Amino acid sequence: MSRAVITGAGAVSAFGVGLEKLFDGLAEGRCAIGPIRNFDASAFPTRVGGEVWPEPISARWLASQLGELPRLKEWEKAGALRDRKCGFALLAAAEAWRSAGCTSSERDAWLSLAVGLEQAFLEDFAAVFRAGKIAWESGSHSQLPAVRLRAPVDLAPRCVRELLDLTGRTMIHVSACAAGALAVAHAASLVEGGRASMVVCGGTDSLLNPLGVGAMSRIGAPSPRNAVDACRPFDRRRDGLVIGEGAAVFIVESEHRARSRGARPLARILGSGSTQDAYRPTAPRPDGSAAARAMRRALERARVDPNDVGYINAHGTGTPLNDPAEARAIRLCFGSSADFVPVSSIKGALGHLMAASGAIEIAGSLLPFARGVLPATANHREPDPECDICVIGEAPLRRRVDVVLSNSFGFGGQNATVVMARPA
Amino acid sequence: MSAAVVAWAVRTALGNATSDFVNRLMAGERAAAPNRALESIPGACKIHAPLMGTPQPSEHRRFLSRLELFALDAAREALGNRRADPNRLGIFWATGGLRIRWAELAPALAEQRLDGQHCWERGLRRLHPFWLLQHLSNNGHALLSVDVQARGEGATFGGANAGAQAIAQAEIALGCGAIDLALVVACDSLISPEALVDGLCREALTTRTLRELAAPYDVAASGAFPGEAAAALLLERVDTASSQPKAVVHAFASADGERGHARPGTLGAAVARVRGGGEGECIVDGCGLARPQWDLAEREALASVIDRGSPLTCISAATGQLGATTALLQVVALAHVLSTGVAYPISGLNAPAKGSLRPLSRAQEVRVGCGYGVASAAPGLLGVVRVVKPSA
Repeated sequence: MSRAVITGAGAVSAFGVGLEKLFDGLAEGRCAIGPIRNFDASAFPTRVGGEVWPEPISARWLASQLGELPRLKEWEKAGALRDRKCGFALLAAAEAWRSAGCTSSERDAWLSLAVGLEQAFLEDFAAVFRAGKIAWESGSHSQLPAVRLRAPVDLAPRCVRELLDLTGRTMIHVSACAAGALAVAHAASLVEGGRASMVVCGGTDSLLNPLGVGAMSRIGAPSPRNAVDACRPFDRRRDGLVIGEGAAVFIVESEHRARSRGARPLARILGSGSTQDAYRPTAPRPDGSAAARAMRRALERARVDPNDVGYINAHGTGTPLNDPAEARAIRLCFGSSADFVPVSSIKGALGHLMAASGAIEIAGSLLPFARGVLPATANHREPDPECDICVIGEAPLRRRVDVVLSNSFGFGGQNATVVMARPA
Repeated sequence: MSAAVVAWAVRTALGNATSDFVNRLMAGERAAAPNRALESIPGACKIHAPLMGTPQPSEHRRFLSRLELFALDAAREALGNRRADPNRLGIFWATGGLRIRWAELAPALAEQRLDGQHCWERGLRRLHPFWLLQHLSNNGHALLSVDVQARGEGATFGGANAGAQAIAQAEIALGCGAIDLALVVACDSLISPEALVDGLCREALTTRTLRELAAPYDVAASGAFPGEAAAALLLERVDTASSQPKAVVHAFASADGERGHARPGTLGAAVARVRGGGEGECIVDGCGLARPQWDLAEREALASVIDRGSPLTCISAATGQLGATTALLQVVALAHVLSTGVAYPISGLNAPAKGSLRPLSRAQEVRVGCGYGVASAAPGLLGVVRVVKPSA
């Protein structure tokens, strides 16, 4: 069996473009939540978010980050950049590719990417929708292909493939908030099983558009307080999530391939586990048993004793139901070790990146290996007795750890856990 | 790696029972019907193949689309009375993509303006409270897991080749012992307005009337028509299957970077990759894009890796293009061919175009030990399933 290692990583978050900006923000314990500015959200119930860039994504902005690329104009012309997550995926993939030292010799890499809801374009609906129907007869179709109603689910993966000129297989994960972790876990399992020797993997998402924010507001998931401390994971006063956006992409490859091309691993992926709550569509299983099983399975596959885990990056949405259920799951899996293994959620700082949350949190979980710092839990001030675990508060914790565990729990009860270790 | 198919269920425009589906395929029936809403629109596809009937009443109807409800029905039927350890049963769900519930979106859109200004006041505040839940990509997966108490490893896949992705990942989960039973479920509709817009933009669909419609691989072929379907396969490990398998399947999903359909050459390479040794003559269920140059190139690409005289058939000639569901229905149809020794024809094929492989214009006996289902979709996505007869 080949061991899977991460040799490159790229991140786009409300802290800015680049993994180092994510690390800086987390290591300094900052919170990047602020007013939504890329569209006029002033009348929306939800007006704050973890926004990457306060304007629509353009080829010009991407070029300022990526450097000039011939395809940027083409993607913009084709409307691909209207879906914000496409731009974020491009930035994160380019950084990961570069940081892993990949060249055209690595074009055979596979792609395992998590994407969120296809972005629906309100202005397009306005153009083609009359009295409850697509107004085919009013000549709306003559506006095509400018009017597309939605960005297809495979748009971001396609752009990444084109950017890196990849020739390997493509897997598109759409398991909601667990998708990012599942995409990375899938990549590691392909490498470990010898089916692929390198996989570009991760997640990208943005709901910070009128329909996304409107729909989230209507369902009542975001915190009703439009404040920078709106998301308070594991805090007694928590009252909802904050919508974030961004991407994280990794180069996962076999240790052998990495060694033979001289790439330096950032982390080893030791194991992963996934389970299903099979409980309710709108609430996690309160006893945390299924989530605990995902953690146990990941630890078993990793051959790691729970006592050896030095840090848990929690899903920690800051919603009333998720956090206590996750705390119970951690307690079930770790037993009395849960009294001292440090746990934090970076959603208070960045918001909930939805399909990309698992990926950005795996990126955040590299911080202990890179800088010897465990991320803080922004806005966690009043511990909740219902969340009886060792939560790191608002100050990051300086500590050397060798094994970290990252949880991602999706809507509908899809649970995914990834266990990683400091590179040898 | 491969998996044993021990049960299945389908919901198609040819019928909602597997027997109806295969019998009508064998009879060469075509489910195409006029799409009255688009009859007067120049450049639009005026034919479609909608799924008929209604799904079982379900408490999940407020969250799920009609297609997803059909998929739930198919999944429950495939699982049947099989008793499984909930922790060892995994769901692998394939979805083509977001399909909008237009009726519920209407109040939010009716007064929007092109500049998008004041969009909350102009209607978004009237958005259905469940809009997000209704449009989540893993909705069906989540609710099915509740219904059948599946708590094992699983995932949801997206894109037009998601069915092949889901089967492939289920094979891996079974192979590594994470689960004992995999329920692979797919649903997709290419007749929804947003999918028709995509099809129109890519000029991928026929603009002919039903009367003029020609089959794929016919000299007069001029584009495919859209369909919709749902299906479920129940998979186990080949060496430990609890009952005699109906077939053994191996799936492969990939992409080649094309913005339109995946290239025929990529398909050929994919078939070469999954091809087993000593399998003898095989049958192919083709992509059925019904574009003469592409059809010819597909046949040539496949003939470079399998016998040039292999029989060629195509379920999408009968059902329309099925997106994410294609791979699952190809497994069911090809397994039927392998078990009966009779191949279904390409519905509506009158004058096969010249080229490699042997397009079947009528049902006929075949001596094949293996079947390949291939599919190519935009953007550059492809799926291949290899189906073989199980050993007794």
